[in-house]
Amino acid sequence: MEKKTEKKMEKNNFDFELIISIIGRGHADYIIDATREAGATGGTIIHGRGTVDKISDSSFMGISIQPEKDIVLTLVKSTLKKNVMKAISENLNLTGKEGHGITFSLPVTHAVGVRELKKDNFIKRQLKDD
Amino acid sequence: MKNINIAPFEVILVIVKKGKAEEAVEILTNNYANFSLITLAEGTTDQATAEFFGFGIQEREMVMGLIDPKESEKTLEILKDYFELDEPFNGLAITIPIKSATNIVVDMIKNKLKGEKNGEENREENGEK
Repeated sequence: MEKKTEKKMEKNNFDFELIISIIGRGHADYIIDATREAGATGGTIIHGRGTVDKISDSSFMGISIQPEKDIVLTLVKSTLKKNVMKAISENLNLTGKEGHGITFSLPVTHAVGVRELKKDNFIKRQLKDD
Repeated sequence: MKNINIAPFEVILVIVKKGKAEEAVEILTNNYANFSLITLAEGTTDQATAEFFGFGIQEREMVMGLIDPKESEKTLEILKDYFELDEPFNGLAITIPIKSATNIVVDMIKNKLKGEKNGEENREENGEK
């Protein structure tokens, strides 16, 4: 089962991809602007807390400083994924040291509520068997 | 239409307006997607359109759950109809395949799949179609 799954996932033939970007708190707007310019319609921001930064153990005047993060979820067509991720990557470099983060994408099997494809109310992809 | 099952489990993500997450959880729970997690989120749809309607960043809630891939299509249809996801600014729902997971819900899904498989084999042995 696992080998079969890996083989099918390696094909990378999904209609949609979910791009997840994790960056410093307050820099989500840069990501949203960059993804919009690259063709994405919007994004969803959630808040998180990083654990890698050295600052996580530090405190200032007795108040501990937490490395707060923004997590941006962007749903894009697979054809746009490369451009959008490239735009995010370039933007992260522009925002300076504090804005550094990571970005990765996950395949999406089904999606409903995607505005661009309103006519196709339910988007269902079919894997092409070799 | 061919059933798409490329992974043993799927994560279902539902993003809806603030205050409606509980309703989404109820729908998911009724469709074998237990262990739902609710987080607060911000929607950032097309700014020009949003400003035309009089709002910018909108408060959202995101629900995350684990679901049997066989149930995902039906569940997404129910969510689409209930929350009117076709309309702009109402949210979206997606499923993401995952390779493996550890949880009591995973065992439940595995047992369910195993039961279905055994059932099919028994039917075949009995000559039923």
